[in-house]
Amino acid sequence: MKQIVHIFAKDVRHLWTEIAISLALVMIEVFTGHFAWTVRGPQRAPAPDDFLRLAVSTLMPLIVISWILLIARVIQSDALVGDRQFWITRPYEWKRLMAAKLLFLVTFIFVPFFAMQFSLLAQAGFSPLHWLPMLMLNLAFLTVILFTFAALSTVTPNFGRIVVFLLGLLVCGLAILLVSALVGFTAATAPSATPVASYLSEATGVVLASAAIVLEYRTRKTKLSWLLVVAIPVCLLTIGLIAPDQRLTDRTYPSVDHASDAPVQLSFDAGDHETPGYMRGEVNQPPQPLGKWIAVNVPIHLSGIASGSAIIFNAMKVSMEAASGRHWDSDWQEQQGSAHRAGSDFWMAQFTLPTKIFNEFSGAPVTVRLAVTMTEVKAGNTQEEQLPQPMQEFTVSGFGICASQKGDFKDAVSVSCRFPWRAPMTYVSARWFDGPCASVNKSADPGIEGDGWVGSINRMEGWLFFPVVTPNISLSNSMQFQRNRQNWRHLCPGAPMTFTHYEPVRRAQESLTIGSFDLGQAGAGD
Amino acid sequence: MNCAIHTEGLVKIFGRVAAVDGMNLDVPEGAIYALVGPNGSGKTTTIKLLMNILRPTAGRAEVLGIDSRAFAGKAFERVGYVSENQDMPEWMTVKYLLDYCRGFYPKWDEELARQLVGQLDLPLDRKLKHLSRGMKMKAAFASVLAYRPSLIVLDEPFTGLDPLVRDELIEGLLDRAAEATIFISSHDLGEIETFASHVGYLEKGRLRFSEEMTLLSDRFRDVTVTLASPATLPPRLPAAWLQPQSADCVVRFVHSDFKGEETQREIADVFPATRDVACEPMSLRAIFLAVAKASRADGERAGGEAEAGEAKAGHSKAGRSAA
Repeated sequence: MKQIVHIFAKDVRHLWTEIAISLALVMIEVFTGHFAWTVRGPQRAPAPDDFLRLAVSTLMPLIVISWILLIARVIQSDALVGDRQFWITRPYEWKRLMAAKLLFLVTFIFVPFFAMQFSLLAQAGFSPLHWLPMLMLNLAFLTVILFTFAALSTVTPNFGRIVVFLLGLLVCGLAILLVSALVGFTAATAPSATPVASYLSEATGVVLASAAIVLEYRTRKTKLSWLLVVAIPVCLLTIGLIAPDQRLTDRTYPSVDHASDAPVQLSFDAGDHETPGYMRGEVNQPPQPLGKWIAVNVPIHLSGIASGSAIIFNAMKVSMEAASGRHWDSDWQEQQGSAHRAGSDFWMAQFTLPTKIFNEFSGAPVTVRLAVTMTEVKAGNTQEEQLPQPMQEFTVSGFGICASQKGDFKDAVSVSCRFPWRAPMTYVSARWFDGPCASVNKSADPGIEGDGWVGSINRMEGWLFFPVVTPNISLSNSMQFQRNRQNWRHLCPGAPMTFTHYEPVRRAQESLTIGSFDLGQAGAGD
Repeated sequence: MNCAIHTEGLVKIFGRVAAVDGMNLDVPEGAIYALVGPNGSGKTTTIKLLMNILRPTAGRAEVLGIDSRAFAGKAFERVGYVSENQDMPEWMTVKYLLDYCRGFYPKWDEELARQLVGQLDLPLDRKLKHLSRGMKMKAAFASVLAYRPSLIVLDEPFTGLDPLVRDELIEGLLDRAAEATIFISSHDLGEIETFASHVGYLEKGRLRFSEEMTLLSDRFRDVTVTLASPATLPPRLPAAWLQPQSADCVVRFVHSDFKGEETQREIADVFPATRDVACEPMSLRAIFLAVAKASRADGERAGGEAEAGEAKAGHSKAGRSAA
């Protein structure tokens, strides 16, 4: 222990400037972080706190860079690469040297980061002790990132080499993207409802980084350690590619044996409604040319969603077969959009395909088979709140702290909330009023309901620098159309607002075959 | 005899080059062993192998009874290593360097450290990066000598230093010689000769000789033979005769295995008309040069013979082809 403290004290003395800068940045973040969630009124010109918000957002990269610099400097102050270092012929024990460096990282990165998050949570009105497990989990995620840089620092003689390596990695990444675009490779996206791939990536990263660090400290066999360091991005890339693999997806999202067991019944919405299918959802664009890619909308009719449940569509895989026998399969593609509650009957699914394939298949109807992964969520607690005066905060238990925000007049036109880590999956509804609140008679005018979803199923998937988030809450029907003009509706004090919390109950996979699908018409007649 | 350093068939290969080639070396405890040799002969590589900075390709080495591959951590409490190639923590002041080093050595002698600082005239409050090369080397010496190591390993410590600093370092070193084995690699043969008890000559990774200084001095003689009449050198001379030259009635060579009267008889056998034989002792520098030149000449001769052999083979092949 004596040697650990001895080396640690030497490093503190040597790197006090870097330490002071890093700690100062963290302190500034602690004292200015609240600007990120402060509710403010309408402002037509940039206000002083806009600059502070900007400053707060630029602090994060500065702090991370200061950490990377600290890691490199402390490890390379007793460099492991080379044969000229002063320390290698002194009675250093490798375990103690490594422990001294770890103690340095804990003292000047982990502890300040933990204290910063603890303080910001408390300032935001959330109990840090209640969120202690999340704080610790976030530290674990930080370990993955910092250990990767620590491993890189052990196999390089100076910070310049680290920069060169990172630039090389960037160039390789860009080259891979360029080649993928040229050859028309479809980058698969993992179904987002499962954090398995994310956790697997992080575990692999930390194991490889730790192995490289220990190996280098123990043996200083730099070539071997380099292999482990290079293996980190390679493994992460591999995991990223295999994560959407069919077997993993099948295991995470088991197929439904009987249609009656399905959380939702899917059928092709052929458009024999009063309003064409593609016009009824929030997605109403024609096929979208995305460079060499085209996005295709598939209108899906939904039925059978159980009362009190909602369905989140996670990912979709498409197989197309033309009459000529020509066949095309997509990878798993992530589906964006909100959840569908009981009573909802329409979903505009979307997939992308290379323009070349689109042109080949769009001449005549094709058979399309969709495999869709989904998560069924069930309504839990519903909490009803009376809206207070604009700009006044109110706490929604188990949800977050909210406030209605003023528009151009005195009335509130939107609601913003802040959450610890991530917003829980919640259905929010409120009542809009057309006139100014002062003239509204709430007993006679029930107003118009506006609703929307906020949050996600997974509370934490990766590292979060800032422990308080302020996502947008978009409620439907927020605008009023009058004589070709759009006006904001109003959220009036005393009007009810409900927050219904949803929890995942099961994951499933369903398929849908569309016998005759016209790609040309699918996207509203381009 | 207990050895502070012992190697057996030590080999280190970089790519296709053998920097150290089958070295068998014994450095007795208490010796001041000078490892000499031309540039690129493998002196620094040998020391790095002994200090476990590099790992041997083959063979083995023992330092203070510990296998060099396992030489790490606490083992360095008994070894002091100073090298001209070592990167010092330049940001430290001399005082902090000594304070920092003290924490690693249970046998650190603070009184001795103070004495060394005075003796070597070290400026305690100056950072190493602001010191001259000589001063840095003195600071490194002080940080090594203050814990009274059993073995002091020095890699070219005097290169580029002015004579005054060199004298100060040697003085400081010799004060500790009674209680330590000193292993030193150097080009500075003049200085080495004044205090080395043993010497080893390394060339192209091979240890040409390794022996006590007194025996080496006794073994080498600069021989001048005066003949009664002019004579040419016989085609075959004893192998121990290095760099033979003749001019009129005088023949000169370096005898590398001088044995008094026996050598006199050997000379008389080769040159029966000998009028006078003068055998002068040689300095280490002169011995080093004689061995180096003889070795180079042997190499050139061997190379020439090989080329001649190849040319001959080429001719006969061409002849066969023509036939």
